[in-house]
Amino acid sequence: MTVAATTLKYQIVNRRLGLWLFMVSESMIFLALLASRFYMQGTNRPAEVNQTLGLIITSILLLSSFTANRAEVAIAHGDRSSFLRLLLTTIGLGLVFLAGVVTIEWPEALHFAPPSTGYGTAFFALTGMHAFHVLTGVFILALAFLKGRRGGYTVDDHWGAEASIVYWHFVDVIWVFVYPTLYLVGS
Amino acid sequence: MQHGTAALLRQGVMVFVGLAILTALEFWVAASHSATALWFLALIALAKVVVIGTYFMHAGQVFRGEEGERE
Repeated sequence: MTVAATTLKYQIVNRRLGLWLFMVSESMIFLALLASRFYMQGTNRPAEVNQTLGLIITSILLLSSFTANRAEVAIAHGDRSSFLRLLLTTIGLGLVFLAGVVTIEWPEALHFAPPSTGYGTAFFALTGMHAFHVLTGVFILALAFLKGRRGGYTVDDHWGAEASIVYWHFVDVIWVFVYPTLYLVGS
Repeated sequence: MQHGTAALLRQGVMVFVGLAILTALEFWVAASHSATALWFLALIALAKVVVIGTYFMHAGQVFRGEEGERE
């Protein structure tokens, strides 16, 4: 192994570790918000919560994780055009998810769970914080897309693409807990 | 390389289908078993996180420099 290859290997180890530490620290925010939902409301949930919409936007985010994974595989194999197409699809699905939460879910929730109520506080804090992470994820994916379009990634070194996609999966992981906590638990 | 890409595509599809089934399962559990749903939902969520973390986020490679199964 050459010196350059060894250096790159250790750089990647450090970068991955740094990214995971960042994600663990971000998880603490959501852990506190998830705990506060149960502390304030127990397992009570308003009957008006739109479970169907919750399922639809969850499916959209799930699909975006699949396209993100395909994009990562594509760039790891030097298939730049597929990488760009799949990354753009992921960004589009992320924006659809965001639109579903902000333009449909929030106006509905304002009627049956205004932020002045316990459930409303938990609902808007959790979905709001998650929506902010979706927005930052879309922004980071867009940066990876622009760099990829300029020919910025190689088969051996595509850390920027990998990191943005792993972060996107992290956003999905957070929703894996937020979705049942707000939409499914309780009656 | 084509063979590797096809294998990773198959794996990605399997993971996606598995997550979709778990999502449908948690929706059904919440609708039909409201009394015991909390623990079932927690278990399903943990299963989904393990799947995403292992296959999509490559958690097992955090301390390794090589690309492993991604290549």
